[in-house]
Amino acid sequence: MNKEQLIEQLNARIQNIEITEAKQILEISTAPNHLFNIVNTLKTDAAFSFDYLFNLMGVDVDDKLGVYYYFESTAHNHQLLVKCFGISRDKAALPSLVSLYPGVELLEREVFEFYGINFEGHPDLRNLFLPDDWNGFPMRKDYYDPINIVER
Amino acid sequence: MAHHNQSPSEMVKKLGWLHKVLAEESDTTEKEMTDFVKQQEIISGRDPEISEEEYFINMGPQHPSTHGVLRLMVSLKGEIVQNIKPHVGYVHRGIEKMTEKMTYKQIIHLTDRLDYLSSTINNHAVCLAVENGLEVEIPERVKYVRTIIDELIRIASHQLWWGVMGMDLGALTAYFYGFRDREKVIDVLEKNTGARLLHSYYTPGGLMRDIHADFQKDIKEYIKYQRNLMNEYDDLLSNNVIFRERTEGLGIMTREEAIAYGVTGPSGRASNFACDVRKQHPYAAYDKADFKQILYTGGDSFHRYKARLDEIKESMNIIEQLVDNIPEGSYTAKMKAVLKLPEGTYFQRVEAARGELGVYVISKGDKVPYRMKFRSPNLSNLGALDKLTRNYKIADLVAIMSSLDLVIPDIDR
Repeated sequence: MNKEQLIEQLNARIQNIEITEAKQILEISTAPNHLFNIVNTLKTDAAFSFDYLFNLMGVDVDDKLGVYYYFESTAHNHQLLVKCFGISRDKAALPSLVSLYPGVELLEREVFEFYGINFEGHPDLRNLFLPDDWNGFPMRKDYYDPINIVER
Repeated sequence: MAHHNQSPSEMVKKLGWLHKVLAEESDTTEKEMTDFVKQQEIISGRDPEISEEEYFINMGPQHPSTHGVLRLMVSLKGEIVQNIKPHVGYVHRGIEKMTEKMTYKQIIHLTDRLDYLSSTINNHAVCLAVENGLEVEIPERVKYVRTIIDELIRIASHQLWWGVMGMDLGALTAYFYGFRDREKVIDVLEKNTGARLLHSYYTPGGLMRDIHADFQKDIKEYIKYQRNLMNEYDDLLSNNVIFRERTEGLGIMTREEAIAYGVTGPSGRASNFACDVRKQHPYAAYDKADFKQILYTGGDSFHRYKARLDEIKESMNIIEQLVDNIPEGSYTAKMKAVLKLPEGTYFQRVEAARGELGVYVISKGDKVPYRMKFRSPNLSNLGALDKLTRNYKIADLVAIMSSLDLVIPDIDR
């Protein structure tokens, strides 16, 4: 499916999204309370069948914490970027997608420890790389770096 | 493995001489004999109260079959794996955080340290992402050379894996043969780039320096040498009865599972998941070469093994088609001294030796990225390990993990 057809289908079948056309990939953004249903539709609807989540990255852009999900359909070979930002910095929370894409279990744990985004419904949410007693969320832009691991 | 299913009493009966010794030469009565057998059954775990018990062992972080510092917390019943919890982070260096203070040219040298066996392919991903953002047209010569070197690295990586997989399953000979041949590839690369493992040969816009005068000649010599060896590889491991018994039909992953877990590279393609980025989203000069995507439907450890061996042959095909046609021209595009990516989000997916590597850049227009993310193929492949090894014996866990070919520094980043 090409970009124009995909936009048409997205407008027809999914509510509560904002579509932007970037150079490399089509982007949609949505709110956390709609995210799970939208991704579920994107995965199960035969018109989209986005069955392969090829990247999940946490971001801290414009003072907002969020996650970018990159989807690809192995049947139609089209790609989509779904952006979703948590409501506030202190209580950033998104629904977990483990029940739809079991492979994101470790990836969501990584975002949890680096950005402090809580994934609701995740089976085993704890630190992945860092020690359990690590203070703060190191990939946040306001992270204070007392041991100068990056700044010299 | 038939003897595992025999009860101790059956085994004692078979060992007639022991029976005789116990009955005749000592004062053992028939009752003592049965007590002895019962005791043996309890020890061997046949007593239901004992065998139901679940226990944990830590495999790693210093275990030879994890090839690095990976700790698996294995839950066992007897020797049957119930589930696995991977503990990673022992070589976590915060590379993504470090990139936020480094210029794009400096980042290239960091990415070598992700998956150190496909080091130059990692460099390639960053270069292409930066070139995407700057919209530079790179010379054809660069594209050809990059493709050839990527494929050489892939061969070297698969050779190391081939030897190590043999070693994990007890065939140490394969290890020496694999390393012997890998050395030849490394020699070719060393002559050209000056480094053996971490080349950092690419820069945004082109190459560090032009190729060595002997580059083409060396490669052709090497490929001639390697082609004759592929049968030897089959004789040593692929057709080895013990090896096949331990890999065939074990750790089966369906196509749907491979997609859902994001298992890419040869591991995913052994489950018939067409995920070869070189074919799906061609970059560099892969559209100039005629090659096929290796796909198998078996999905077990043996087919993952086959997929990698076939990839060595396919890589040699690609190199042979390109090596004589490297166009003349400059080895780098004209680039500014300070690279500043325009504001926006850029990404580039490439096929590393173990699967799909992605570089995702968010730029705010500075000379350093605002956020850079590496999509690690190994982290996604590790995620499927728990599913693959359930209800297999702990020895099969080693074989299945070996067939996934995990590189730990790429997981930890």
